[in-house]
Amino acid sequence: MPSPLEEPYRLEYVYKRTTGPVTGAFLAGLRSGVLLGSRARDGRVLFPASEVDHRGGATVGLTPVGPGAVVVTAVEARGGHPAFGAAWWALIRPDGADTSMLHLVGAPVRAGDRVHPVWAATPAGSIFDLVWMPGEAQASAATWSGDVVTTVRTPVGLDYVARAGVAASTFFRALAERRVLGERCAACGKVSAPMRGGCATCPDAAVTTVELAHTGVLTMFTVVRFPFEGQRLAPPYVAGWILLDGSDVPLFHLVGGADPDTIEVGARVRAVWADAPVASLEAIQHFTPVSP
Amino acid sequence: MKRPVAVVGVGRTRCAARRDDVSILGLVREAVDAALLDAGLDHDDIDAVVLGKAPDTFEGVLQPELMLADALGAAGKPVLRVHTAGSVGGSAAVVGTTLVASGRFQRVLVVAFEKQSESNAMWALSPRYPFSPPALAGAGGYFAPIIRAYQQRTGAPADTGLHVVCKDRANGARNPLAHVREVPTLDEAARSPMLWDPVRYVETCPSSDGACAVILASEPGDAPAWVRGAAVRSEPVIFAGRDEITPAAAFACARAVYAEAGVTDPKRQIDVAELYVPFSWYEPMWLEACGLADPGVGWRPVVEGVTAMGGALPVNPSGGVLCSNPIGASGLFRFAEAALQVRGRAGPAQVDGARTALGHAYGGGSQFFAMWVVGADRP
Repeated sequence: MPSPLEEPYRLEYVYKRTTGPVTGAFLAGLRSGVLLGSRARDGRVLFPASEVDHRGGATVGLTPVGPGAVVVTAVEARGGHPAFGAAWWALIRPDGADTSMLHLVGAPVRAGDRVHPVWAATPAGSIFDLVWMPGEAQASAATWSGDVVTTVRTPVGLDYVARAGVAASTFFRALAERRVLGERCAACGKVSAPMRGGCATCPDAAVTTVELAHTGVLTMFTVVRFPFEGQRLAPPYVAGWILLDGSDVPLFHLVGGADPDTIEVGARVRAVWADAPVASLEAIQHFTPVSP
Repeated sequence: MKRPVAVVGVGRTRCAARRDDVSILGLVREAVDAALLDAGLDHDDIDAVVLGKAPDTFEGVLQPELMLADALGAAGKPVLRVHTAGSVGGSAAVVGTTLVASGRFQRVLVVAFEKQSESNAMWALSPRYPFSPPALAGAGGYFAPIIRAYQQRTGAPADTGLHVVCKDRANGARNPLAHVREVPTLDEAARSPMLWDPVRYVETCPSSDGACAVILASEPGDAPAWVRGAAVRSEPVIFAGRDEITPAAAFACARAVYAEAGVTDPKRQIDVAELYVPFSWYEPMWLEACGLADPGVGWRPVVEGVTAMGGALPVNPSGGVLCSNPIGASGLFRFAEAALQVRGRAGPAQVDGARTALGHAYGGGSQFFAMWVVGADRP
């Protein structure tokens, strides 16, 4: 049996994060070359500056800390750092602070080492304005003017491998051969497609593979009439549920070659195959109405 | 229920397209602090915390219950994250109710939030999964076909959805916490652009930043709302014979919550309902599923004004999801608004003499349902 299908899948977005008054001040402090902590109600100084103490209470003011700092613990950063090459992740506690933050040190360090901040040449009000290097800090004349960075852009990207599984791979590979397969449940007799290796309502029942027609009925649909972020088709276009002849579960797909203003629920449709034989539901370019 | 549970505190934030005055922590704390103040309690009085929110892709913060533990005063306490898509705020309230009813905890803080401005819901809900056609088009792309099918099946008047919008917006205009507060006329609503045909822009919920918190306790505070019944039900999103217009789980959830609450005639016994209506036509559909209208004619109380303020069964006096939609919190807002009604603390949304109220939420592909019935009287 061929191995199940796999395809890389990347989920990414540049988030627009609002910082609030305290983290916003901390970031503006970084821009000015100042390390800001916040005072908790019990007198501790939290670093980096936080809106809350560890019991849900608001902190009561900002205070500069450092610039000298001590490494609480450190570990070599796997993969290093794009700007520095080798780097160490460290919990760093500036002088005058009672808590520490996780940040990067651009040279080997271990617990107890003294480190000092190195500031970016063109600070942007970001956590990347700062890295740490071993050694004692120089006295700093930098001051924070009280400004606040209100928004930061946070790119997030996650790489996945989508695995289709055995039954769905059989289904998708058949589509590449312009065949539509389904599964008949031995218990309820219902036919489902796409194949998933079992019946959604009879979990213990066996299923057998059956071949389905390339024609069916449009059971429900919408006409997408507006553009949106991430959209891949030019509106207006029809997307809806197609119940293939011989199946009991509708497929969600596109309907092309149809007049969006006159197409109706119950319309007979047939699959229009894509030119390229892909092992995916994209092997069907769309469904299109058949004249009665 | 094993022992009575009361809603003793409610906190709601102002909802807006972008709350750029607060971080996620600040937004959540705004609701929590308000709920604690309302209950006359402190973080130290809380025994456990339940957090609900919708997909983590909305803010790009994976497992926000960890990031928020300090802000929730949850250090050293049991924290439970609930996720049932749009219904999650309601599901979280039901989980909190169960924790108190079980006798294990005296006071439970339930919090739900969404800060949708950190990303874009259309992006987050239209992923291009491998092996699939590029047919996904957000929540509206999923629900619009179902709405079209409901229209066709029932023969409801074409302007039913517009009546819902004008009613909810009129209610939202009285709610100082609501996000969208403009009130269109029926004619203006009818000229609104079509997005997911047959759903118009004006019939679609906004994307909001907002948070909501409730405190559930085994002892009543000053003005308790007693939880008379609480239920969640779910069903697979695709299976042979599924009817997306009348999901079996929606009806099962209603039967369960009414059975526990001793409600035998919901049309008569429910004084006010906060239903999860993110697209206008879901008011008639959920009226039917919740037993507040007869099957197939849920549109009738809508167009007859029964569900408007002053009608026999006001629905969404707060303005509902059509006026404010911080998705993960929207369900808890429904539950909280129901509690405020029977506590007599609903402000401009107050329905005179409300003694029994329904809070309702749904999520995913109409596959997760959460409901509670709250009452002014101790069970």
